[in-house]
Amino acid sequence: MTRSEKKTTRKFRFFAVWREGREALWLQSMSAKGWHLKHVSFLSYVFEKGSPQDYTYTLDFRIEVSTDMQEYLAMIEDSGWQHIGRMGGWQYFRIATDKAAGAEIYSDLESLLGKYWRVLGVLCLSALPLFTLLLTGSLSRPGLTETPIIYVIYAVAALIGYSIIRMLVLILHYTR
Amino acid sequence: MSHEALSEPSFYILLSLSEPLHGYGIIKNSERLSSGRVILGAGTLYGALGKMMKKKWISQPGQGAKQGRRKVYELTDLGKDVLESEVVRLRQLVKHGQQALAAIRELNDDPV
Repeated sequence: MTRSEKKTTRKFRFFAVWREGREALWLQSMSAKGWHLKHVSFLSYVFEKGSPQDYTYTLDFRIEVSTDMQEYLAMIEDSGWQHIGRMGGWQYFRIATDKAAGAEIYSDLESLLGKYWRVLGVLCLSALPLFTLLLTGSLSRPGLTETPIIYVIYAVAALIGYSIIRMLVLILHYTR
Repeated sequence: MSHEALSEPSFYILLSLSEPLHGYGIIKNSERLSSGRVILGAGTLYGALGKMMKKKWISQPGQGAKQGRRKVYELTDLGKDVLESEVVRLRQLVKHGQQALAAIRELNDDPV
């Protein structure tokens, strides 16, 4: 590492889809300590050391073809947010907290619910092949049931199933 | 033509597009036209523009041509019709509201 390179650290965390608010608050608390999110990938967050800042983080969920994605990001950035990275469909943004009021990415309930529906759609799509395998009994072949991999598959299926329920509850809560 | 009542954000997005604008221009113009009341979230706007493109209320005049990250939108003839009939509907709402309020006031002024 050369002297001009900034100090970075990597942290591993898992946040379930319905805890995106907690995730944003955790990123904010890291920035308060001077560790600013630089890169995000599956379960892993890279932070860069800087001076402590009061940043508000937000996560949006969008999957688009690249030209539409460029336009989407330009719109969000024009309204003051800095795009830091993405993990799957999750887009990570931050803004100085004193500029955050009135800069919310969703200004009405309908479009906020649209985000939750997109998350739910992707969860259901990813559940489909997994649950088909489980329900048709394709995984209960003798060779597979003796390996620990089957438990991993069960755990992932359970997590996705529970996430679907949590997202539905969230949507119902706002639709009421 | 008749259509569903426009949501307030949709109404101001269409109003803003009396001139071709890109996303952030629409946010600023909506804010100005509504005297600072309607501040569209960028994600809300992005979703709404996609829906309006599908309904052909708006179009991208530069589509096909090489554009930057920021695409420009403009009202189509259909979009103008939608806006026109919405204003007619709103004017009716105001008229009915005024008539009903006037009747209520009359009742209060000389009770039978």
